[in-house]
Amino acid sequence: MIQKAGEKMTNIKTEKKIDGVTAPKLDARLKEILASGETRLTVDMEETTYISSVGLRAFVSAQKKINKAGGSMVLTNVRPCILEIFEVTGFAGVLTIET
Amino acid sequence: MGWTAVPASMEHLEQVTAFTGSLLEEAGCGENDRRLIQISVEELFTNIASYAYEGGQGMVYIECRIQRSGEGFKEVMICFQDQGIPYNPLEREDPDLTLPIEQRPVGGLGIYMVKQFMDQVDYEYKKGCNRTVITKRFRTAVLVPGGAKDV
Repeated sequence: MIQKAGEKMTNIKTEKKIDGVTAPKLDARLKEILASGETRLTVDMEETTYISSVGLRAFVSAQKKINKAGGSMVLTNVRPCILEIFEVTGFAGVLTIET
Repeated sequence: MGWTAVPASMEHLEQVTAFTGSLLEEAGCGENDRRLIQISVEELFTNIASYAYEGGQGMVYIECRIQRSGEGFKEVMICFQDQGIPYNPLEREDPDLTLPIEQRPVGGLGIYMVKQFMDQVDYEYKKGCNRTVITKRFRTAVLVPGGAKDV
């Protein structure tokens, strides 16, 4: 990915499970980053092997704000088992995913 | 095979998924099928915890049965019961996956995932109880030390 000089990129990592227990933390973290004015972020999903709808909603809500702000969010190291869930739910087309 | 009863609130989610997860693991359900079943369990439990008792308190009864289903396969049946307001999750419209992200409603996604991941989802309201039953046939994995690896 090309990063222009002066533009800050925020990197975060997701947990093994993004479920009803951990998703609110991810959602809060994404909101906090966006509220601080950062609109370019990468989310390393290497550890993640489980995501339920509440986790998907956290990403979608962040992606909507990022689109409005003209920023970008890239989900990196996405495992095939998680990609399958993004595909079944139709989010593979609206999120930027690198496997 | 087993049942459990927990209060219908999100603090009990882990207790529910631990209950179904251990039964599935003991039955030789592989990592991939187990993930899809566990997501479905979470989605149905979350729905009940969020809506069944309209902010009040109540219980959820969960029964899990696993039986042989031909050579090398088993079938799991998980039944969720609550005494909350009548609510048929199958009546929810499927989300329109062709809509651009800005127009896409966020509701209905959980039950859509359950319908995609399970072989069958049944609902009935009987004697003051919501009863949702999910079933899925899965291949039994050969037990490997350390368990099957995630892909």
